[in-house]
Amino acid sequence: MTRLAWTLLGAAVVAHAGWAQVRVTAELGWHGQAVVGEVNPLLIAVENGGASLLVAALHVEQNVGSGWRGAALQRIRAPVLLPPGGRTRFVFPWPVDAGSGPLKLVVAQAGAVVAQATVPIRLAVEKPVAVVGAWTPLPGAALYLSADNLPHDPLLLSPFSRVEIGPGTVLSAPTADALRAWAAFGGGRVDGLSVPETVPLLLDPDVRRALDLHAPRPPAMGILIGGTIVYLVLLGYALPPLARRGTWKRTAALVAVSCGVAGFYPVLYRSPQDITSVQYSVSLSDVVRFCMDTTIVAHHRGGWWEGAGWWMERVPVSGARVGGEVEWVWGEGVRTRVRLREGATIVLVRYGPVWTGEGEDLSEARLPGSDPGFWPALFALGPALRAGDRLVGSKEGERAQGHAFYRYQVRWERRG
Amino acid sequence: MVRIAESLVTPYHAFAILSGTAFTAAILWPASPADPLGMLIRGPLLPITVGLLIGFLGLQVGEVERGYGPYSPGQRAGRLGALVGFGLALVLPFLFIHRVERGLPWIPFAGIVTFLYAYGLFWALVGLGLAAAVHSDGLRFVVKYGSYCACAFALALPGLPASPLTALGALWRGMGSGWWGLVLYGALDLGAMGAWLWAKRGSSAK
Repeated sequence: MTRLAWTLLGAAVVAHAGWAQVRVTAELGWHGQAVVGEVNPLLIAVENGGASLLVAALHVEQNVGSGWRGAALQRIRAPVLLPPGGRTRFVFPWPVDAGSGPLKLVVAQAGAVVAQATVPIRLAVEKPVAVVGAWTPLPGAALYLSADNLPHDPLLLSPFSRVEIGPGTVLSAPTADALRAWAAFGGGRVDGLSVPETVPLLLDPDVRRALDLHAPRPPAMGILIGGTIVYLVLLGYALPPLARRGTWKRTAALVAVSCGVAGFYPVLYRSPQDITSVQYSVSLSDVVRFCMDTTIVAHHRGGWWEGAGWWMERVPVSGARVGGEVEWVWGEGVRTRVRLREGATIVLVRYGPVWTGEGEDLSEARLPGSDPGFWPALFALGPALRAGDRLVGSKEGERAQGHAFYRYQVRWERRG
Repeated sequence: MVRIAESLVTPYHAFAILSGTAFTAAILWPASPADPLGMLIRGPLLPITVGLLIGFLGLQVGEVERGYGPYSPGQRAGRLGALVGFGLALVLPFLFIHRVERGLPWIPFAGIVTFLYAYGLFWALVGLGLAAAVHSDGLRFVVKYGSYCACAFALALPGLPASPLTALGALWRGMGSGWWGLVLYGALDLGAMGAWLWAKRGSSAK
């Protein structure tokens, strides 16, 4: 009995030592303060204190939001590869809302948990000003950063109300691109750096109307209702002889022909799609690398929608979250997965890759005459166009299995 | 020559007409997002309606088959299977087109059709058994429809897959619990039919 106790104690000590070899820590928000209702940076550090290579998966999970504005379960699944003694840092964009629970982090190797942590979050309501490369005292909330701290992804600038670049501060090209994209697409103001004029956002009602244009086809009502009536009438004639004389041929022929016609139906009328996605990409001639992508998704049967890149739900001011579960997973690059209930419609946004391709000139397009698919972009951008500006557009559509995907790309070429 | 009892013509007709009505409702109902009633009617209502109706049809078939024609127990079992299958074949065109219109994948569709068959056959066996065991018409009526309603509706309240409402709804949504309903009725059919044939063989051997 004593030997067994010692064995168990020894095993526990060894297991504890193995557990402690990998460490995971996290911090949510700039300087550990997450701004409510914004996409905040989630900084995760993983340290491999063991003597062997760590090939593991990092899982992050958090319940965000509340019943008032909708709740969602957010997850990240990312691969981790660390040499012995190695340490790595990840920075993920992470939407935060009031009423969110603590962050749960797990590092798992071959299905076994090797490290885990629960991180409480500190919420702030006021968006701070980021002061870069200078020490200017400001009246409100302010964060003092060096140029190296600024991200290359405009999404991570979301918690700031303004970015102030100190005189003489040298920014790297990717950082300056991110700041320009952030300012141009309505993220906030940037002082001390030449940035493009802000572009009006595509409005939710316009984007939702665009979804109606691409709705699944209606059933072939005339054929189906007429066929049903004819079939039931013929059945009325076919069944009694089966009972009286036992003649199966007529009934069998009727059922076989009807089943054959029903089997042939999908050849004439393809199944309507399960998911409709309509994506609008707005690029600017004076913003390199990034465009603003807005996608509206309708799931007609309920289930998962999946798309490449970091997509975030745009929650309307007076609305609630729609995506019940959101996952960012790694495959060929990061992919976003959102679970939607049947009939749900969600608007997702991201900073996508800039579009530089050829397309039709929409500058002179008049709403009644032009392709209605472009209307949300024309409604938003049209009034802001100046003499000499050009609007170039391109559209494409494809269907893969049950997913019908339409993309409208618009580039605003500003004069000069 | 295989024939059906004349008293089954009307139940078959009613089954086809009511299923056709549910199909028409599913086709005509306007598509509007976030409308729970519309989603039910355009979605799983047709298989659920066919499920409820094929149970009633099965009870009728089983009851009428008792004492119909000079058939051996093995032939009787074959006829029950064929008559339920015939009923299902009558509404297959509706189910096929509904599958296309709602984009239901083939695997859940196959699960739904198999469940409908297994469920109908189960109630045909119950109808046959009740006709043999309960000789009072009034009592048989109460037991027959009472047990059927309890199975179909009361078991749906706790969400048990023994109810066609739960099982067919789950199969429609691609949820695993629906397959348990299929397994349950498949096992009940095989068990009941095996026990019945074994008992009949035993009694005829004596």
